[in-house]
Amino acid sequence: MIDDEKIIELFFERSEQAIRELDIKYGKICHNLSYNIVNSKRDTEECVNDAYLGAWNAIPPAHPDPLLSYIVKIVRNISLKIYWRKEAAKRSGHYTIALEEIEACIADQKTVENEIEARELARIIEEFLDTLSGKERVIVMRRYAYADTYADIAKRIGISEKNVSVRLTLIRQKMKEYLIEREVFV
Amino acid sequence: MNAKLFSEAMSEVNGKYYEEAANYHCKKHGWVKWSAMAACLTVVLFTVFSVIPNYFRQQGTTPPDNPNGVIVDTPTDNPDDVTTPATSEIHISMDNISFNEAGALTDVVRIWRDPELYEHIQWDKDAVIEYYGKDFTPAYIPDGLTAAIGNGTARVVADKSANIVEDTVWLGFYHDYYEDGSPKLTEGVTAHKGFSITVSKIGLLNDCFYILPENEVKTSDIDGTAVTFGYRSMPYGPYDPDTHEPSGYYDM
Repeated sequence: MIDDEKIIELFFERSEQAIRELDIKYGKICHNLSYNIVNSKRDTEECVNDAYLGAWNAIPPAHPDPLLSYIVKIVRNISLKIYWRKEAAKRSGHYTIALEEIEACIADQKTVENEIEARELARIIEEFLDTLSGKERVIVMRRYAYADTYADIAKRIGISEKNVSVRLTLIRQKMKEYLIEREVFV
Repeated sequence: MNAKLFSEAMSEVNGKYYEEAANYHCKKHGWVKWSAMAACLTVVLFTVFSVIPNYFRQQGTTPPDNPNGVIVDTPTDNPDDVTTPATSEIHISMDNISFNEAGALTDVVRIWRDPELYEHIQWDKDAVIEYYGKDFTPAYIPDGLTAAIGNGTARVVADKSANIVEDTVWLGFYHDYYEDGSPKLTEGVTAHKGFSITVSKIGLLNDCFYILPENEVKTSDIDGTAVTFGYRSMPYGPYDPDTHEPSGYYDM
């Protein structure tokens, strides 16, 4: 596998080999993430291909560093669009379960929803992530950014599924308190 | 706030968090090499760390001139009888006890036994004592802990020639239990509060430790029996923003 910088060079050269190398290196991560959200192989293919096309159109002038999080975020955003569209008709997929967990933590609160934007909330979440241990951060990101199942996380972290569940419960409780302290809830 | 806003925010968090989560893989923990101990009686205690020192310090009497924690069980009139722990006198210095910090305790994959070749046998307490020559019930159980249902009994496996091929005995002592008899999680820190004892003469145990990679498993010689003491703790925050050092650790 070639390194990220070489892939970026291929993009800048407008070589279609860039897409192939991107897929070889990060295709599996992108497909897993998208599938966890949209729960459909066909939609996953479309999301990942659209993400590759998005990267093709954006690079250049964009010069993403690191490349992995760049392409993952594109895949995630495209997959979420599909997800919310499908969600209007029918609840499905791993991501629904992950969101239901987090809703239990953040819903039923009177919020300043209209006054806080996703970007601002992201900064608060980043601050919260910085208060966690490395392993806890990975658990949160794998669950709520990559939409992994407990089993996937357990395998990656090297702990039991039950332990993942317990840790996430504790982390969500801490996050709720953190958000209240930062007046995300009023 | 709703889940959609949260979801959008997660897309906005810095790429370094995505990178960290994508590149994180657990360290390969070395499985305990139980086979090395197969020839000897192996006992594993997995316990709340805070219970162990109390257990040793409170069992029997600790002479005031021996602040290092020598244990003296009350001797009985029949010192040759080794079938019950309360009848023997054991002196153990805490200096000779080795604790193993465990990353996790988990079920290993169970061996599938062909019912054509093996059969499961339920042993009552007397059968266990007859096989092992002793009762593993501790002489002292800390306040607040109760014995699990079925303690001292075992479900062993024998081949068609009546040779015992699995002889694991498990005893649990926890603060509470679910209806199925498994230890209950505490509400405060969602941990099992208590300890368990797992015994096998063959050395085949149903539980394995993830020993932290910097450690090697150490056994403690308790009256000629190799005993592996394990404990586990879980960090809690808030964490130092620079070093990510936790505020402390829960006993697990």
